[in-house]
Amino acid sequence: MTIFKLPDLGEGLSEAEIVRWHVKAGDHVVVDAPMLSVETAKAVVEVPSPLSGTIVALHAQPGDRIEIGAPLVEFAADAPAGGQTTSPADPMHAADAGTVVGQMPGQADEAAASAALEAANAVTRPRVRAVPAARALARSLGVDLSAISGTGRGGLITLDDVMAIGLPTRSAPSTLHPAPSARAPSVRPPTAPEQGDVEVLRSLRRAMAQSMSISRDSVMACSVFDDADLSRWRGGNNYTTRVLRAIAAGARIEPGLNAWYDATSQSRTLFEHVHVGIAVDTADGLLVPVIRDVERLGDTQLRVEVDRLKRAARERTVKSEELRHFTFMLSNFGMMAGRYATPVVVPPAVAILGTGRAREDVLAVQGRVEVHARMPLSLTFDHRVVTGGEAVRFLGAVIADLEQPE
Amino acid sequence: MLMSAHTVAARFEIPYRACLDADGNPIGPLPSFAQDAQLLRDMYRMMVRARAFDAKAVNLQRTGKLGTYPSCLGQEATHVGVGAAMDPEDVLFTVYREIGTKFWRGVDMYRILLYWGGDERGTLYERCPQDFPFCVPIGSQMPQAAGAALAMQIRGERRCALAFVGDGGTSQGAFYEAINFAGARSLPLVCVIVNNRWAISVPVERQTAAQTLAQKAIAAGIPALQIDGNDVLVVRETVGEALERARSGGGPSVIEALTYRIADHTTSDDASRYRTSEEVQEAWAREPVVRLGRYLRARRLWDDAAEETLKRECSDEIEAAVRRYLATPKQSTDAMFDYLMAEPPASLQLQREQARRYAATRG
Repeated sequence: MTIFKLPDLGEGLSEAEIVRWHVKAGDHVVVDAPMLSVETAKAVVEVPSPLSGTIVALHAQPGDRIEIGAPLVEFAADAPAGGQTTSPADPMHAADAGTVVGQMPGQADEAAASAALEAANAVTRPRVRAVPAARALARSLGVDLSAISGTGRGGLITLDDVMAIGLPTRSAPSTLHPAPSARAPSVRPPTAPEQGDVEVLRSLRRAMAQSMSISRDSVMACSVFDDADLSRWRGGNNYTTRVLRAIAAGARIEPGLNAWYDATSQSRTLFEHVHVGIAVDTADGLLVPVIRDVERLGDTQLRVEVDRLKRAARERTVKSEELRHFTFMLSNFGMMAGRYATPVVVPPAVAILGTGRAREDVLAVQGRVEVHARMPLSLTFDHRVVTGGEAVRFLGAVIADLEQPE
Repeated sequence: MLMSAHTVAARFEIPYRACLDADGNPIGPLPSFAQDAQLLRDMYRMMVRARAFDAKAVNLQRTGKLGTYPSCLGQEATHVGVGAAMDPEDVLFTVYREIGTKFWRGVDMYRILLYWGGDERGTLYERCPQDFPFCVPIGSQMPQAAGAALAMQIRGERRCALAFVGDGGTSQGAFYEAINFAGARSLPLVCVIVNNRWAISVPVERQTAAQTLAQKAIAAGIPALQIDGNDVLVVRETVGEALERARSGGGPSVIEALTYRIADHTTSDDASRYRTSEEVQEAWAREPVVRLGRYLRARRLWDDAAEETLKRECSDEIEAAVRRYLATPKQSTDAMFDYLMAEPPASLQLQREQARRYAATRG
């Protein structure tokens, strides 16, 4: 029995997709007869039969993506291996992928072979071998390649190997920008790449990854922390609507924080109206619906609008236009846990306010010890376009408004 | 109206030559060598041999037994015609497709397989040891050829350097520099531009604003003309004349051979992504092997029996070459270093040592 393995049909490719078979099990084929079409990253190519013989089995279906070196076709050769096909004893090609080898791909054999290879690599590998794309990804994720055992040919580290290490699955993103999940991000030990499921980021989570990367690469973030004393609050105050109203009050004093910045043209736009994007934690990821004209809405209208948008966000019925064009952002993370954070500014907006969990603090008040309810506040601003003075005057105005009885 | 007085400082024209039409009928009087039936048959055999080998090489790559391979399909007349025009003492500089020329000069199929299999011994040409190996970088063979021609001139030898270059290669600075130097020094250099219309995915119309590639030689003061590169008779005749003129001190020539790359650029390419199947169908109607076959049959110099015999001979020769290639033990990693410099500098010696240690860990 002879196994034909998928050869590298381009230059340094790692896999190919089966387009169609021109043969089936039981067919007799002659050397160089058309056998199948495969599509690589570079081309659709015809693969001819490497020998004359009878096809015993096809190891892949049309549409399958298979790796270079994986078993493709099992033959019963017409004559003893020789001529232009290669035999197991062939000194030049027996060990190469994509050649004909005379061995069944028993799983135990494969495992033993790869274990042996791994052991050999551990002792003798002079330097890390990884495909260029894997090196680039490892760099961007901060993954140490030498901690990875590659699963590719000869221990070569593939893109999948890096992703298995570098992209944690089923854990919260490490940024604190949305409400931090109660589950702590799990840091996976670098020695166990085969554990866990790799999840390719989709939709909301992918969008978050992109916008956070953009923020990291462009914004000069600076955070300032303080507390609003809520001891004079009367009953009936709603936490979120009071914070929204306070943001509008801050924007009246310092319009420079209710603004957009365009780095390309080095221009900023100050807004008269305050459109606050509220970070909403959903099962699929972070959504930021926008409350329009916060400065004009009364408490009741604000509360109705906030409840409506949060519900729409969690039910994923929020319209796309309700997710655009916020001029300021609010992260109400303290509803779950956390006092202070360094929330992340999302361009083109220039500031974000985070509100932590309110609690009673022991304070020194005019020489006496008192216990007051206080709301922790974290303001991050983009220092490229907002000065520290503007930021703290804004924060002061927010606190003054929040400390009103109602 | 104000006008400066003017006269014409220079004029040029590019002649076009062909012997046979697309169906193999003579267009006008044929060159005298057309009376040599043996030569005509030899050129036909060599073209068929190149085409058969080419198809096998592609299949070997597709089954993992050969590296990336650039097919010569459709360009056999230009390659074989040049080989047939050259003297053994001339020196050949190729691009990477010209197996028909290499075969004519005595390079074995086995060597070509070794070369594309990544084995340095593929450039060991027993019968034309001064010929240069395939040149994968675009255009870099041109200054080398001009340099060889200069050496011949200095030594007073009666021979010539022949350099192939592709249509894309004529955009390279190295091409212009080489033909400028050859023109200025009146070197014994013949440059054959193989215009196969595609530089990978760039069509020749996007490559240059000139009407012909041949006219680039005018600026270097070199006689230039354009020929039908799918007509082996006109290739043999035109290149032969240019070589003879160069050998006798008449200076360089540039010949643009119009042909077509019927195959993908290489086995790593998929030309259907950037050109139409109609264009390729039209090229098949003008291809060179059938054309010469028709002419030979019309003159009763060829028949079915001869064709069958030829195919069997080619098949046997290819099979033997493939068997020998696949049975050749791998070279040591030293081969990568041994032929670069007469005395390798310390940096290369260090790399050679590192490669040895690495190879030892890989078994």
